[in-house]
Amino acid sequence: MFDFDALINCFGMASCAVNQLTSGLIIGMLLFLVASGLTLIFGVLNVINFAHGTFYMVGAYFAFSTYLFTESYLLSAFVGALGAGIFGIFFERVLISKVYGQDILMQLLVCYAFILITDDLVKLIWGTDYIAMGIPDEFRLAPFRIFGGYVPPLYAFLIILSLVIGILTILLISKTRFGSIVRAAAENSPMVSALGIRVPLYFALLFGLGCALAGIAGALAAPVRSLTPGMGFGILIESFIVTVIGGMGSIPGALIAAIILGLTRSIGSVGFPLFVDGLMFLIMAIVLIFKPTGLFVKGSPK
Amino acid sequence: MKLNNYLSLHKLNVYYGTSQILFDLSLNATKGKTLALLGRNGAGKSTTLKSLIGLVPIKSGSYKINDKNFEKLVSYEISKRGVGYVPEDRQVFKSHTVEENLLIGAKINSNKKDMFHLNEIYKFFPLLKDLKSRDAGLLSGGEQQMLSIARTLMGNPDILLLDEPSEGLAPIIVQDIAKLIKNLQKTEVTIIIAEQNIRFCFAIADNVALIDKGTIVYENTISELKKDTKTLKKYLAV
Repeated sequence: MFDFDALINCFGMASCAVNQLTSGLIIGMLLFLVASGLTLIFGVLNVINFAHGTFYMVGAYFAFSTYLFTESYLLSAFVGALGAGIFGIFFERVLISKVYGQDILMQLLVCYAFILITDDLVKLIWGTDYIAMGIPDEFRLAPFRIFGGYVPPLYAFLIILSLVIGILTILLISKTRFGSIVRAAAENSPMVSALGIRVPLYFALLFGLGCALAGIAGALAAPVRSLTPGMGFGILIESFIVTVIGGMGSIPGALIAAIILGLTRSIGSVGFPLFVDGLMFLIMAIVLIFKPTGLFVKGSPK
Repeated sequence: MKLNNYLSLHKLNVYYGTSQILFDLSLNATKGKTLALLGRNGAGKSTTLKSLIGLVPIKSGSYKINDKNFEKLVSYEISKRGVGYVPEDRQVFKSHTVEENLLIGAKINSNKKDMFHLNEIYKFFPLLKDLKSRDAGLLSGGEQQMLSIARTLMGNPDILLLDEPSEGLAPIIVQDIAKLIKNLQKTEVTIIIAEQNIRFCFAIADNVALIDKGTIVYENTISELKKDTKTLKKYLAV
């Protein structure tokens, strides 16, 4: 099961090491975008969005269709994010806001029904086959050479853009009036409402923002992953692992945890391909035992 | 004595779940005056103020300000129409700074009142200016009470609802709050203040309403109530 020789060989060669690290970072950063949306929604609304992976899928499919028409990857990513965000606001207003504060089983049921319906809608519109978008024209360029390894420009772009989006999200929540109101409403929504602020509107926008983060991750991932109905499920599980390790509600925590998981995946695929998932859960279990609130959240878990 | 019906409640019935808290409660407040709502613990003072700001739903009865109906409105709509609410336990946003707390409350009300901005508030509350970058959770009880009142004033209310502003504060701080309310009265804001502290109310209020078991049992001016030892004894055990 373990092939440490292969691992040592790989890290002995600059090219192999660079390849594994970049691919680990890509997996990690895309996962970070999805998980940051999940953790944001949980931190403010105290709702676990079990349907979060669906918005990742919706973002990817919207991006794919936009790319077919426009052949612009950037526009596709934008449409993917926007589409997932609007779809998220719809989901929040019509369904999930009805079960705020209710038993977590109600939230789970509502989300599960929504996942099944959306997966079927995707099958009706785009079919059941695997779809590949391929590397977009903008990024058919010669790879960068870094320490003897090759990094495709698309990969570098994905890593940097994800990081920028993450930083912008943190700034939006910590520095703007929108963020200030949303954090205050998380603490005491009746008081915010008594000060003349339409809290449900802010909650819907925040939910939409969380879904847009999942959507843009799906859209950005479209060239490097294949699209299939139900593709949201795997990323949902991994996002949960990320939020548990990083701490529910912590965006910086999600970043670190997502990079740990991404690197575990890419390095593991060389050294212990059969134990990658196992190791991810093992890391999560260890964090849960020694710091149940996650690495970046103080105090007791909610 | 005739009271001007600027704000009026008529036969208000309010429930928490299935238990009724307010019973056919009727109340009037005069524009620009300070009304003290006095009563024992559990008489329904807080619930009355919460109904006025829309934090508890009104099951039946009417709630009017300037002849406009308010009973169907939710709290942010009532707030936007010029009603400001300062809750009993201050409820500042603990992990926000003092200034962030104030800015969350900032708005121009729908009657275009636009008097208080940060600068004016800091003139009114010099203490808060010195503390503006501190987390509100680290303030003392008196400072939090000041902040809670200032945050509501940032929303430029025409009517200010104060729920037990003297509760749990040292006598010297209570004096500061009384001074502050007297200063506010010069701005012609209408104030409804729920209190158990009778001396505090006697010092600042123009009119008084006594509440007992969820309904108003007495309405008059403060100066008349002071002479009425029978009523004082019966409802306030003075």
